[in-house]
Amino acid sequence: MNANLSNQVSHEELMRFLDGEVTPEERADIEGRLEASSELRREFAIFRSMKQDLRGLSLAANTGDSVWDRIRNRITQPVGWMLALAGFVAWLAYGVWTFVRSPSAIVVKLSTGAIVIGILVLLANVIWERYKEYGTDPYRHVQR
Amino acid sequence: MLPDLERELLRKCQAGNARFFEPIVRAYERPGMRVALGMMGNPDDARDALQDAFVKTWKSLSRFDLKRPFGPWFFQILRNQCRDALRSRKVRFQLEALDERLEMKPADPELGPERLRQKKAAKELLWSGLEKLSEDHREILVLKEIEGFRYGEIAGILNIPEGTVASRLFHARRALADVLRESRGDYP
Repeated sequence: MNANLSNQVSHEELMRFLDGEVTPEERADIEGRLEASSELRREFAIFRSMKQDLRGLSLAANTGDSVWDRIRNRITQPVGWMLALAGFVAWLAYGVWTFVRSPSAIVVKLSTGAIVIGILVLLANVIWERYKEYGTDPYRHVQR
Repeated sequence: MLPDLERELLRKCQAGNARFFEPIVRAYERPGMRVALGMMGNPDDARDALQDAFVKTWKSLSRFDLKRPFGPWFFQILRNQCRDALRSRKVRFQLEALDERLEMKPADPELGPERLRQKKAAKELLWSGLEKLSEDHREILVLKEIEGFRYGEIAGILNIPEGTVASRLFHARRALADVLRESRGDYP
């Protein structure tokens, strides 16, 4: 493609003509200039052919199920999670406070505390691992 | 979707009513998927980018001016999301778009097997050509040729003047033509 062609019809004009973004007057003018230059016609033919081929690529965009379900979860669930978490923390704090102030033996308090902390640590580990793997999980879009 | 209806739905969304966001999502998910697919090259990353873009749109809705058209604003968010995802290096443009999971335009039953094979080869050539383009060139071709936006709309989505749209399209098309000729000397 010769750069000199742009002296006859600018790149922008050629593109707007190709994409049907010109006025009738501009169209007639560019058609006249195309008529006068075989090289320009050849260049235009390449662009037009490529445009048709690209149009043929148009995808039906089969998204499978709508993405709405996942989006709804993401935009509505944070409130629910925050409330649940706040309630859980408050409940846990009250339980710990009551348990510490109870007349139970120190051995009972320590062993019960160890079990509860152990379970919470294990749960946090599982959640963290799942969170880390989620980004690379090839089956995350598969629905049961 | 009718502009007045869309505006009314968006007004209710701005008031925090998530259920009114559903028709908006359903109206824009197909064109959004086409754009995301063209930019990401594979359906999984495209779907992730599309979902993230919708969530960001929801979170930013309070700042959206209802006097403006929603479409270009949404596609601007989607385009930014795709670019961020590609730059995060977690994903890259990967050619899986020809995978059978995609439903291409239905083939013309009148075409013979040889012509169908040629068309399939031409599509593969185009996809591999798009893969080799810069992000700027690929995204403008996707917006223009795959989604069929007009120059004014593309200018709004990419936040560039209309003159730059024409100029960038020229360079993108020329770059694609060069790539295609490198791959197949007799193109087109």
